Amino acid sequence: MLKFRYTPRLLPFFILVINTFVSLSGFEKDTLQNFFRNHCLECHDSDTMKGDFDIEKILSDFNINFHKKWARIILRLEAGDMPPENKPKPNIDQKKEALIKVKKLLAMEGQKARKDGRVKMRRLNNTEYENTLHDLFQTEIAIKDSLPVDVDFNGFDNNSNALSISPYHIQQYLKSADKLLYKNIPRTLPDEWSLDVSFNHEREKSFIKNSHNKKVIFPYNDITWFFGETHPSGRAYLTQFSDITRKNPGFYELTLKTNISSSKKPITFGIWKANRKRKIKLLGYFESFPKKENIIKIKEWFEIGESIVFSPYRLNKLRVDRGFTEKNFTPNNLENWLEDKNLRIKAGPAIGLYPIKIRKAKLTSWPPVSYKVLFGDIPLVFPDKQPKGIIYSEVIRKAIKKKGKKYISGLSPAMPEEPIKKVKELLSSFIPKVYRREIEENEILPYFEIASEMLRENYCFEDAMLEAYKAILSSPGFLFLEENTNKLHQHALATRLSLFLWRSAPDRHLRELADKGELYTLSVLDKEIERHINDPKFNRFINDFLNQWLSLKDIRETSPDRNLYPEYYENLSSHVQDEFLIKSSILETRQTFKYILKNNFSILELVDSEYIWANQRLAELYKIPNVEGIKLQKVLLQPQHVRGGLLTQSSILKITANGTNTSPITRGVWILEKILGLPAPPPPPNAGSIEPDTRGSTTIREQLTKHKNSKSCAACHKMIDPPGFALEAFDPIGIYRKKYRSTKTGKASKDELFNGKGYSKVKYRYSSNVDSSGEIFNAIQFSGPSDLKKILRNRPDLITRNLAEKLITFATGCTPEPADLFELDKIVEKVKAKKLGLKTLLFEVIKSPLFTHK
Amino acid sequence: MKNLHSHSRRLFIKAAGVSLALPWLETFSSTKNSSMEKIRLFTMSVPFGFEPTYFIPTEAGSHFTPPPHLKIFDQLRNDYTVISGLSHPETAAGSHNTERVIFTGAPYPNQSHNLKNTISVDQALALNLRGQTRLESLVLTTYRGNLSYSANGVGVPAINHPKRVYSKLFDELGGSRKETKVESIKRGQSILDKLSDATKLWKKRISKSDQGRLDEYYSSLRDVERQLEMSMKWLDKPKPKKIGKAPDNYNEKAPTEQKLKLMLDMAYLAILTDSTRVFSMQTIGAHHTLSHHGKEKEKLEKFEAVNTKLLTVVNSFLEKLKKTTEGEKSLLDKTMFLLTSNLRDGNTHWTHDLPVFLAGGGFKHGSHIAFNKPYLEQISKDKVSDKAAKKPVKSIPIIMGQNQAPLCNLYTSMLQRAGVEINKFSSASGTLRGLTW
Repeated sequence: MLKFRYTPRLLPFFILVINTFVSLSGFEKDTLQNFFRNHCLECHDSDTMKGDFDIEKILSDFNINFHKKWARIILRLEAGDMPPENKPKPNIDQKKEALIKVKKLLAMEGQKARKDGRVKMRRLNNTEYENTLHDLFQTEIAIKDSLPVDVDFNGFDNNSNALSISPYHIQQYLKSADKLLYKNIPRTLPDEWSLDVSFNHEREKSFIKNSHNKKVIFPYNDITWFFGETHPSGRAYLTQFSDITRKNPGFYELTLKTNISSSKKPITFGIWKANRKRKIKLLGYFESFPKKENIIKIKEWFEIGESIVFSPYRLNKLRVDRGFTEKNFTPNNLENWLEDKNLRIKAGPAIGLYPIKIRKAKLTSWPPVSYKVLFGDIPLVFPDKQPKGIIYSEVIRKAIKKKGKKYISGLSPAMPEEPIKKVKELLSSFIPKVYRREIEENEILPYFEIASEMLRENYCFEDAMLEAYKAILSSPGFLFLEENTNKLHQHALATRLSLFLWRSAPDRHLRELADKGELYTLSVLDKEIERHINDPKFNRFINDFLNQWLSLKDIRETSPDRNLYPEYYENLSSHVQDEFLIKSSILETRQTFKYILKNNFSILELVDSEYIWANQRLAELYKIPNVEGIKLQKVLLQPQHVRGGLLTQSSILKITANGTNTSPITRGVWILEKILGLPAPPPPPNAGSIEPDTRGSTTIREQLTKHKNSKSCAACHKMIDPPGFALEAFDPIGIYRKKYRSTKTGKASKDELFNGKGYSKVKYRYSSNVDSSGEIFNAIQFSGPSDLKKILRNRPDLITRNLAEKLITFATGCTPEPADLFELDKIVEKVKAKKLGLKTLLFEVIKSPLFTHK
Repeated sequence: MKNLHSHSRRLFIKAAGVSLALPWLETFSSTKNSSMEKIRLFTMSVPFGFEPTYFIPTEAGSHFTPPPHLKIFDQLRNDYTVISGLSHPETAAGSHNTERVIFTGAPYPNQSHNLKNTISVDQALALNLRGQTRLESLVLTTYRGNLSYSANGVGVPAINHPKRVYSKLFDELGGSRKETKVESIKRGQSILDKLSDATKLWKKRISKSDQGRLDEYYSSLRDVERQLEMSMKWLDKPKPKKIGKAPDNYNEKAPTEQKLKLMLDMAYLAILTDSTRVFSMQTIGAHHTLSHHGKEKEKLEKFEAVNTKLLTVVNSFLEKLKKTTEGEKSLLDKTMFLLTSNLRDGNTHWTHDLPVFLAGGGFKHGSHIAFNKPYLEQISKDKVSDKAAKKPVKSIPIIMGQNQAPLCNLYTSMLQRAGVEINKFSSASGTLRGLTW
């Protein structure tokens, strides 16, 4: 191979990418043939065709049509489960050499077959569309929920194959743009105000007067004291705030002050964004500490009529654990309780909420940035400063209000002196922003015509411009990613990079680098990647990538059985799941990935690590002592602990179970697909699955032995089932188990659990023993999850390549094909040379031709 | 009425440069016979199936004994057909993901092996009936998500508030001033016009192999344009007079049968006023956990109770249709009502032997069409043993899903019944044997 000596600052890195056109000589082809003849054809020749797999045929004519079959051959040879254990093992070097050659051939064939590039043109998916508009207009108005849902393809929702466009899309794009654009025009002059709002108020009676709440809530002066958790029917929903947002949605800053009484331990509470008591979004869990000013600030976008819910977490448990019940608290005898220490001790732990300070978030400039994006320096004026007889659309008409003779609402951009000139000017500045590139002059024309036509019809300047903007935001130039064949142009590369790491269009800085044509300079690119990783917007990558790669978004798809897994519930009798636990599980997975990535630690720590990120609630589930507080913290594990790595996280264990049972098949398939990159072929059309029958003591393990006995099942299931067997050591919510729980058979359990009000005996029994042993990769034995993790650690190539493949899929909207294994392996080699760093992988993925070429 | 079907001339001329391969135009050549009777299609699916011993009769033919779930429909004994042994091929192990293909029949709906969805049976009919009613279809849900898909496999957004359905049926949108409405339609048309100009300019910038996607965009523009034109035509026709009062939107936590009843009330009004002839409905209960009953008696009973409530609501809807006449026939005779599920039952998650219940539409009803005889035998056995046994029955077959007929054969028959000239819909091999009209 050719090697370049280079100084990174001077030479663009693409020169270093060796062309994949590496042709094989006739001699090399012969040795390749020999390898497969010696090791595979005994069973897989055209006569025997074991497992219906004919290698002789696909060997005789190296053809791209067989690429999927070749991929299976490669993967099984790499995994090491072929040739089978009773046949001679191929020499490791020979095998490696043969595989490299096959991959090279596939790459060559691929290049011929995909002349126009690997990735087909795609539109922005709903997330990217929404993020782009949010960033452009600095808003958080929900947009994507009204669009048809994007379909997952290979587990990812930005795949070019699946991103169809339909009339529903067009209608919705137009509608969303309409809604969004008009919201960017402030109708009134800026005013700053703040307001203190207490729950002790006539408007909050549905909360204060709720019959259950009466027993646990005590409004004392302006402070609302909670001596217990509120009832779901009487949530602490701040109605007065919803009165405000109903008239004036937007960004608000809320300041909440809390205080606690008679507790040395902090009291936790959650804050939700809500609409009519229906929780919409968790804004966070917080702790209130004794003898401290507990103040939290929340800045958040509130839509029409939205407000917040305040909800103490596990306060009932805290009280019961301290020996208090509801009866200890009777409002009548609490006249001066806060001043009277004895009364306070008698009433037990409580948390008090002070009046909430609501502030309309301050504008950083006037007019706001979102306005300037659309209208530049055109001043906002009331109708009396507009030309006479001008037409306003309904939105503006409705906003026009007068107090006496003075206008107080109804601002709109003033009609410029030379409107036509201004239209051109504004469009020339706006279109490149949303097209993500420089534009040619004639590209303005269609939109210019829209605006000028409206102006001719005597519409106001705002209506004319917004109508044109509406069209632009529904046009192919905005919606589709314009990627040229072969090596991407600067702007296409910038767009890919930004969509990948920020899930949004390039920002100004990145755009400028592309304008200047500097993005392919190594030092510039490195700096840009680093800048993107260190920005808060990188969290979008973490969340979105993990949601899809690991199916983390599915964590709420199933509800665990309340009798079998009561630990998953905050309140058993009212069926309220422990949102704090769910949230902590998700955060654990995100934090693990983020921590390894930012520190460039080894990819293998994703599979097996000596630490976990946990808070008190997770540690309780994991039975790891001495972890306190709600914040995730790095906890070092003792040798006896089975945790560490993704596979043993409660989030993953929950996602891979159905709520009631666990299935080694589901979990096995999950590990093969998500971690090892060894997807199993689809089951035959008439395959069944096991009918769950929890009445008796037959374990799933016993039922699955059928797979072993049937040859057609065994071929795949000897790969699929074992990793799932190891995870049988964990129940559907991620608790480590030695015995299965059952409501029918087995020994009754003496465990007691807090049910929301007090302690009661659990309803599950302990039935048969869990067997989490098995063998994988052709006779490597394991006795349980910890063993399995060690075995997986020894497969860095598979794990790294799989992750590279998933990242490429997510980054480009196209799943790599067998023809891309050659390039993927190159990434793996580079990452291996640098201690398998996760951040290194991210950099190498971006520099790979799989990313930089269409 | 005739020119309702003609495409926008303006866009047609512009289309000269863009190839317009509209897959459905070849597949669904329509009859468009205005003297045809107004046949409606109502497709409904539940996500967790039904317990087979409660839903599937053990005898085939017209002399079957209705199992408990079918007993609910006793007043309609000769107005429905129950069909067993139907499924979509290549959906094994698809589990809940098969929900997306229940009305489309596309293969491999599970994540790992990809899905390119195709048009659903209701939307295929809607395309065929374009322009004949004010609304092309009503895609409804009592939960979230949707079961209907457009020609390129995009999910049709579903309505989950009865109030919105009512408003679509009766409210004159955008106030009463006709000029305002005309103005907004015209503005919409102008935008679409300019967008197609922009598309043509943009087309030059992309490679040949990517033109297909752009065509999809372009034909979507055209479709919206056509819809605008249609609204212009319907402007002259006032909406039907309001019947009853607009319903309140239901509480999210209301039991499914309440939501279902409200939605079906709306559907009834839509049928009555002939506002559309195509309906699809996804309905779900908060009984996912119950569906994983593991054959435990208490859970199984609760699961059946939930389904009984749902089916009772369906029954009163059908009886109401039967009591209402349009011309010489009852509305039920003019409405093909299909109830099915993408799973045989929620416990097994099997995607074969799906429960299928077809009522009305003028078919010859009153029998049980069975394709999988061994399945009926198994149900007979289960009926006896499940009642007696507390422990599992030790006969778990490994190969299942034999003796199946394609569910799409039924869809083909239904489309034909509605006057669509089609031989095979999706994965069908023909029409459904044994079903006639």
